Amino acid sequence: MSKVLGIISCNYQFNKIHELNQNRPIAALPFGGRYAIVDFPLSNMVNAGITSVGIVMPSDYRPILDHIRSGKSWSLNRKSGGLFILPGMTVSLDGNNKFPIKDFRKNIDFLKREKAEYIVISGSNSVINIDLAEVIEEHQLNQADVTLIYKEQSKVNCDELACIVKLDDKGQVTDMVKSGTVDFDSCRIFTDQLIIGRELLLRLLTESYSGDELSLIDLVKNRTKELKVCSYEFNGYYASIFSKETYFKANMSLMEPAVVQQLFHGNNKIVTRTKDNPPTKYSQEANIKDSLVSSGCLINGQLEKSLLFRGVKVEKGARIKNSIIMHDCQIGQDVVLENVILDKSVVISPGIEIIGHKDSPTFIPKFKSL
Amino acid sequence: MAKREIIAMLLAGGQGSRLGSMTKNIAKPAVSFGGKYRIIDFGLSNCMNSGVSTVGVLTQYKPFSLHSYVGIGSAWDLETSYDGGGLSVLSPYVGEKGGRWYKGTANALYENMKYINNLDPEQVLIIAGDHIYKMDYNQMLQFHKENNADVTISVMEVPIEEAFRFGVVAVDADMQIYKFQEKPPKPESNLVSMGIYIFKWSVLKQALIEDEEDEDSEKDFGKNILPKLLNEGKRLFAYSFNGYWRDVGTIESYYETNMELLAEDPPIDLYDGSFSVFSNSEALPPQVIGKKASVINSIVDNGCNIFGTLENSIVHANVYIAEGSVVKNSIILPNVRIGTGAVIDKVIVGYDTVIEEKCEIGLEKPDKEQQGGITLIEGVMTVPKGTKIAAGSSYNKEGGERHE
Repeated sequence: MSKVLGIISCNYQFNKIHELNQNRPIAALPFGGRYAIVDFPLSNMVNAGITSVGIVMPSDYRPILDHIRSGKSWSLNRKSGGLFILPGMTVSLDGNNKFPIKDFRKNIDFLKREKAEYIVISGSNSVINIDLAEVIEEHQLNQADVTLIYKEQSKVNCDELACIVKLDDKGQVTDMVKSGTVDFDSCRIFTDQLIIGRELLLRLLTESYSGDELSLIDLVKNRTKELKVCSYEFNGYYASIFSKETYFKANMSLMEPAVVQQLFHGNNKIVTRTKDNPPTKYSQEANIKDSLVSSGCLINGQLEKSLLFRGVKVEKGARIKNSIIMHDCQIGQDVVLENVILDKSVVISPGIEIIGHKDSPTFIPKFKSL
Repeated sequence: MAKREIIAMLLAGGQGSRLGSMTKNIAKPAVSFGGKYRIIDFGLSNCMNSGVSTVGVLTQYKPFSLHSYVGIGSAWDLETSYDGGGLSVLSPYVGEKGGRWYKGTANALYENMKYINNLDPEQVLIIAGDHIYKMDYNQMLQFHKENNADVTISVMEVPIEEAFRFGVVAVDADMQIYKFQEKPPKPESNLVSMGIYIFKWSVLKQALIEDEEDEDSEKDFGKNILPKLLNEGKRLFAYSFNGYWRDVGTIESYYETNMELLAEDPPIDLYDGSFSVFSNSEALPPQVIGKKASVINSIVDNGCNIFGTLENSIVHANVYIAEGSVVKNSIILPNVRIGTGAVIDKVIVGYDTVIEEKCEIGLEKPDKEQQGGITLIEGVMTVPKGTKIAAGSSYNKEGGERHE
């Protein structure tokens, strides 16, 4: 395989998810019981044999570094290549304008020094397990300049600002537009992952001096006639997280065993930092249905259609339904929770009842005691 | 702890033949335990929690899985460090005069004298790789130094009628040992050795050299080294340990020790973050508990898919329990699949095994109970559809069909 470099852009934010994300970049948002969203792009790259990955950091980078550390969990603590922490624009970018040219210019020495043929560039708000090796192979076969990865999806599931790719009959990209401007029920949504030749990227960066306000997507979009911009359709499970509702929905979709199977039990593993929790213990009073539970939990209560992160304690008589409970929360006796998201280390005193709306769950921030 | 004050030598080479087919392909310290651990995790985690940062792991019997599990010790923060410490795997080796297997625990240490000499520690801690316990070796070291002891043996009290299975010590009021008997028929004390020793290296080294030359010696710590040092008038002390300690050397003790974790208030707290037990675990997805599943009084690890009924059981990583199956009072090792309608009771199922639909295991109880009524299913095999296996039996490759 040719040498490929990975770049994950983590310095953007969505207004709609602000509640969940105070002081926490979306890349570090806990997902699926034990993961951070950045685990998906990171694992996909490593699974494709990519051993050099640069991560463009936001100003509030602490939660990301806390999670990936030296990159050891992904075998990126290497002598040749490995993990590179890259500076990015420090003002929080709007999530719908990722991959600013400024970020790449800032790191141009890195792009010049890491002698890779191709670069895989990815966002950090997508839940996806994709075989990037296959995409790279197709990129090579097509002798493409750029390959954009898309997922055909109903419009209901995408942000009105999400990027739609328009294709000609040979599958080549002719244009990219915001989904709000399109009138179809079903559309090809750009998954924020693309492959581009390194030399080409360097050329684009040096050519367009005036383009400092633009994003890489703009550069590609403006050159669909001169460049060979191919597309790759991804058919598996894909969820883009850009609001509290999409976050809740994507997590809840894991109650479907087929989704868990596809995301986590296939050939390519999603790797995360292990924390050496003990296994989970269910007591005599436990009553669990249709739920996803991580290690280190102690469960004495009732659980239905809910997701428990690591180290959660649920006392006797507590009933949790249709909820997401993050790491180290403590749920007291006879507590009733329905349609809620508890952030890390929330303590709910005995007897409290919180019932959120089915479509817009109640959110309780980190370290709160109720 | 000062640099190189103490190093640990962890004896992990035993076959563990009393664990039957559980150790057919794997050394005893590498056997899974408690839902996510391997037995050796306890000794290594104790080292980590006690600040013992140099550990030699002596292996011999079927070491492949053990070697790959222990690796370079990263999981226990024992990765070989800048000062030459960290974890080293010490297997029997070949020299100019040929190679040989370790003849006993003392001989294993003798063969690795060069390793210890290079490190030049003041004290050597000797521990076993097949005990379940949490212990701060620092406290024992303090005791050892305060008494200016040549050897300190960690001891505990057991019912006198069980003492004959252990090394029995007799002590004076200062806990100085005046008598040591390995597995005596008529024990005169209920203080027994836990197989955990701290030796002054200078004393141990001399004893190992002399013992090696003694043709009548069985090259064993309990049988030879300790009685010899006592006879020579060396200062042997007993450090009494009051915590939880189990030897999981037999199928019955392995089963019981696992089951103790299911108690409402278990005697060993795995959830105590101030003294964690670490393991080299894979990053597996959370466990799925299905719509029709029932899980009570059980311990379940990551990567499991539970669609059936689970009761009083310990389930290791990546196990699949199909809808309509019932698993009770059992220990399921990693990567096992249990098919629809299968019912199993008081069974240890070895890793990577498939139990097909409608098998009934451990339900039929023979008049004369064997193996404590525990049924043992060997790892890496398939138990064909509808098979009935009586309680207390061992189901091995000869009886079943291998699937690899």
